[in-house]
Amino acid sequence: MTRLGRLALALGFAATPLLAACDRYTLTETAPVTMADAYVVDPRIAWNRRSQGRTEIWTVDGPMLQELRFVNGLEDGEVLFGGTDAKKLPPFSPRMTAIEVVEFFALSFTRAGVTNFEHRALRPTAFAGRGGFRFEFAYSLEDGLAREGFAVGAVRDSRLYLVVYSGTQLHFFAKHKADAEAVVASIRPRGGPAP
Amino acid sequence: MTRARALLFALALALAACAPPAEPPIVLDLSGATAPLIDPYRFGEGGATTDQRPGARPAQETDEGGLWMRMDRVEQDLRTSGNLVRDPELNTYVQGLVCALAGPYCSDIRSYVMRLPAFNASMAPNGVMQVWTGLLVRCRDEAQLAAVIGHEIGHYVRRHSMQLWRDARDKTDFLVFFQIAIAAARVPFVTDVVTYGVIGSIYAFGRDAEREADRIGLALMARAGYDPAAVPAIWRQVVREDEADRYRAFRTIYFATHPTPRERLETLDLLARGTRTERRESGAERYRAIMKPRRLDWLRDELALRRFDRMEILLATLVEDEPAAGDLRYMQGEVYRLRGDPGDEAKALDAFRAAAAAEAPPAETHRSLGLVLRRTGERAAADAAFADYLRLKPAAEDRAMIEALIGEAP
Repeated sequence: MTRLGRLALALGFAATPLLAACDRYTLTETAPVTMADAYVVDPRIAWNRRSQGRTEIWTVDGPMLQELRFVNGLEDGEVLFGGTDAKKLPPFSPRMTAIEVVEFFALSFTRAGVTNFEHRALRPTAFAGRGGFRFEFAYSLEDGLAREGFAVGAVRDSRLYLVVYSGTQLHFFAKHKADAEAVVASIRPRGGPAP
Repeated sequence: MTRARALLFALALALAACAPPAEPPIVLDLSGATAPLIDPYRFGEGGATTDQRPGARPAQETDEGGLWMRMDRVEQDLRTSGNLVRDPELNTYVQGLVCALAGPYCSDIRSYVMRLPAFNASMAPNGVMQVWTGLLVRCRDEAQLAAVIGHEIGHYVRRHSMQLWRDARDKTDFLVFFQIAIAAARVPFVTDVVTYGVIGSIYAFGRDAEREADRIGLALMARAGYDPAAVPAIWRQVVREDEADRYRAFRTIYFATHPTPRERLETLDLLARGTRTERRESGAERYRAIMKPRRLDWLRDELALRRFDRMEILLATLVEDEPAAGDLRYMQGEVYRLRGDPGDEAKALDAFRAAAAAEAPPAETHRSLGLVLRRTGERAAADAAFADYLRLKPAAEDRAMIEALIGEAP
């Protein structure tokens, strides 16, 4: 259970039994979605959608294979994942720069049990109309399965917002990368004009 | 009852006080010895008659020959592994040390330096020895590395793998053992330390084999002129690291296969002190000349494991020898900056400032100094540090991000 729990945590399942988790998925429409009263995105395709605390997860083939994860306003002292290993995870601090957010992200994944976490290409980019950042990353699960991803985000009003797309290096990351990029490109402030 | 206990306690104290000062018996006398390297050390366990002979290879049709052939194939994979360090100078150095210790077995043992963090070395039955960069970065001098390599040579000479294999075969799990043995020796292309830890358990030679290897290793390194005190010293360092780790989720891989460090330390201490030898070299300067220009990348690998408590101990040990080393002080700063315990911010600032004033600090020292200064509200000083970073490393991958930070409104 510990090992499975850790794995599930790393994948965004938390320690929820699979079937129960499946019950809570709904399908996104293609109409714009408002996230945490903060910004709006266009799903572009139909994703299976599920909420988990401050986090919302979208997937086509299942989060083990690929997921688009929205971290909607993490507050001071909160951790990136819920679940059994949460107390081992580092707390978010609003004083973090983009560089430190990436380090926080990397440490959270490592403490959740992934190996070989690497990040690259951190650069400034717009997020919902104001300054933010973007980076890419890759890691392996304990069984050696390699995953990769990219993330955009910003710290706004002392809260952390992240949109993270990730999937298995074999096939599933690439399968919906363009759709994920389109979702990211559509991020706009609430009430702002569609891109 | 209480009185009885107090009496016992007093008696115990008295006995402890009566114990003679620890003057270990001479267990190994190398003074003036000119005997060949390995033969004299038949430590009375009767293993010597079954020792691996120099230059010998088991006949193909035997079980041992079969195991060697499979290990030869594994060795082929090792040669193309992405983790193999091909640096000729480093390889010459390590193999040179192997030869200085192994004497007639010099050409039977082939060393492979692997770019992998964490303290580890291993010996396969066909003489393939892996030395991880995590071991190289932890040794303070040549004598300490000689201690570990000597131990591994002990396993080879006494054919411990073969004994272990035959033992396993006599039970029922022979096939499983065999498959795991092959998998353990095969090196994947990723630095997957956790996987190594799991499969490494097949090298658990058992307590007697470890003791034997310890004694042979100590004899070999002392015979080659190194200070035997380095043997308990290197193990003591690694035990301290292990004990400092608050998560303890990752024990030192070596300890998964090498039992009871505490008891072993005491035995090694006695053995080392009981060794009579005239030369007691550390080889520290020679060692540092090779390792220092190479170790920053290896330390970055260690940092990427994010085992901050262990790394704090490791760096404190290295800094004792080289208080003015910019790379070590920078790494200390990184450990404190990333760990974020109460008080770590101040420790990180101290370390980065010391690094900046030391010899050859990495350019990233200034970047990290800037990040901590920014956290403590010193924006002007932070921006100046960021500017230093970009001046020293104009092509930095994160240049745009740093420039954005400098330009940000406070």
